[in-house]
Amino acid sequence: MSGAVKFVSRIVDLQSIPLLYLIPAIFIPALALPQFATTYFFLNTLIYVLLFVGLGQSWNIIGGYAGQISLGHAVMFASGAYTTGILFIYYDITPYVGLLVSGLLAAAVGLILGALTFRLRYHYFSIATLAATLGAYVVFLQWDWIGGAVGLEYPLSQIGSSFSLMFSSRELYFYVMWVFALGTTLLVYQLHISKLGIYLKAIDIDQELAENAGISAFWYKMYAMGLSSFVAGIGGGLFAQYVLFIEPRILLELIRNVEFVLIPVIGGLGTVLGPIVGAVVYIFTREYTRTLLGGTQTGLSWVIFGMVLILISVYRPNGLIERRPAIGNIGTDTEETKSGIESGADDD
Amino acid sequence: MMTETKRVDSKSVLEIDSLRKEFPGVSALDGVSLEIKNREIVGVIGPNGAGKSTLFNCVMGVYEPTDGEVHLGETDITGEFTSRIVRRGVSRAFQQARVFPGLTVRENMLANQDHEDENVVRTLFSNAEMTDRMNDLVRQVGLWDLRDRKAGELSTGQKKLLTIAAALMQDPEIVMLDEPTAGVNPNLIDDIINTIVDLNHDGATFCIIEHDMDVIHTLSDYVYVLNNGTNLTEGPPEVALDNPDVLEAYFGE
Repeated sequence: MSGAVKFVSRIVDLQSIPLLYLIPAIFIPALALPQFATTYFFLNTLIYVLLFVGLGQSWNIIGGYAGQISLGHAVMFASGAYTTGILFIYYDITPYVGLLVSGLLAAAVGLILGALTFRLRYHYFSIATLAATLGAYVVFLQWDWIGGAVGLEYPLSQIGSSFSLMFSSRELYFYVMWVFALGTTLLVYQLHISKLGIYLKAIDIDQELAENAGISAFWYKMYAMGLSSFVAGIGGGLFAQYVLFIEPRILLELIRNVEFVLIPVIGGLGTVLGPIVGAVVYIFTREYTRTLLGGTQTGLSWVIFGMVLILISVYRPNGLIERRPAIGNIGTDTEETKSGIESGADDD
Repeated sequence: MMTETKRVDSKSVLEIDSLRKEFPGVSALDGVSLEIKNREIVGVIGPNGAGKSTLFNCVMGVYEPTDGEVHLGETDITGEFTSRIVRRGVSRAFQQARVFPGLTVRENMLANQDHEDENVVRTLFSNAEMTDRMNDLVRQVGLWDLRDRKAGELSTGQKKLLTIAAALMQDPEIVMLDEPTAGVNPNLIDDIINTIVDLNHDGATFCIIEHDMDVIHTLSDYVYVLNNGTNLTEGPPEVALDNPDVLEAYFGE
């Protein structure tokens, strides 16, 4: 299998194509996909792929670049969903504003979590974020004003009004999610080629050495957490606008956190295109195995997905897409370069 | 024991005054003092356990000293965060040739650029670009042909050269080098020594921990010898290294 991967990657050497060509080459043709979606199921799957591209990019910023394993992005996702939903349902505030507020509120939640844990080393951040999910689940479940365990339903009478960001046509949702996926991908592209991207990767690889390089790990991790949470909050708001229903279980179940992590892990951590590939692989596997097997063999879909994950871990342990440097291209060295490495390579 | 000698420059860059560091049950530094003057290469030697690496860690803010002070020029930097100390002008290259292995040589240099006046928020909108100084340093240490190689693929000697170049990225007041030639292919030791000498001629100040006495002899303008967390002696290398107390500290009576 690895031979096949090498063969294909030799024919289509994606690493040599500039990202600024690849991103439009992926997103512009994707605009035509709804024309080929003859079933609701397929269109629904495509919409989720685009939503999860954005959510995967969100986690990619803090997990893939800064190396901080957040197990609590569902909290920011749920905060966004509830904020957009409540502002619209209770206060008639348009979701166009609600989404922005969702992003800001989620960023604030993320920054509070970061401020409490980023001075600590090792896995305190992961533990704190996981605890936040469990805590938020209990709070949201008990909080009657936001619907408690029953949740909140959107007023379906408003579907179709331009103010409501609620559409009767699924195709329009596709285009909204397309904008979200493209926007987050461009954000991560800018991160990748920026100084910030390099500083975060440095912190990810060796925090002590990054500090020794003059990089203030705490503030850069906070910055990454704020950006990442902002995107997760908007994603939560968009999810609420799509399903028109918010309740703690679907927003905060443990698997939601795992999904955030899996997508960039499958696609390639700290890469621009990884979450796109990861979302396609993950969502199609999830939706099709669920549909084909869900009725009679509940849970078997997860077994199959687990097998896909094992195959990826064995053959592509760094994810399906390899990280490319912020400047220059790996592998462009000359014969002298190779001999330069070999001449000094015996002392390791 | 103090030896009267003329130092390279009168201006003090780094001054360590009566530094103490205690760990539970052990006193790693017990009142160490040393001074590094502008444009000098100062060697710090001593047998294992003398406190050399602890001294570097205290200067760099990795450990908070129990007592004593560290001054960079007129500024007291005792106990500050490492990243702040680096931004003030003290750089360090580790003994283990620590680089960011997953980043290319150029990206390693970019990670080490001057962060002094950097606005954290703006770094997202500021593209990673090599400056002339970065390119010159990569050329000067002989890694230009390997600039797009992942640093993890370099040999130990090449990694050490990269750490020296990276340490100079911030245009520091002083560079702390922890055993720059340890574990390096003998063919590359001369490259490292020549690089340090060239950079010193260009105005860089170094403080070097080193076990190889030939390297200390070749490089150092002045040497401090530590033993059991205290100053044993100091002076020009030809004087300090021939001191009977130093021989006794290393080899016993």
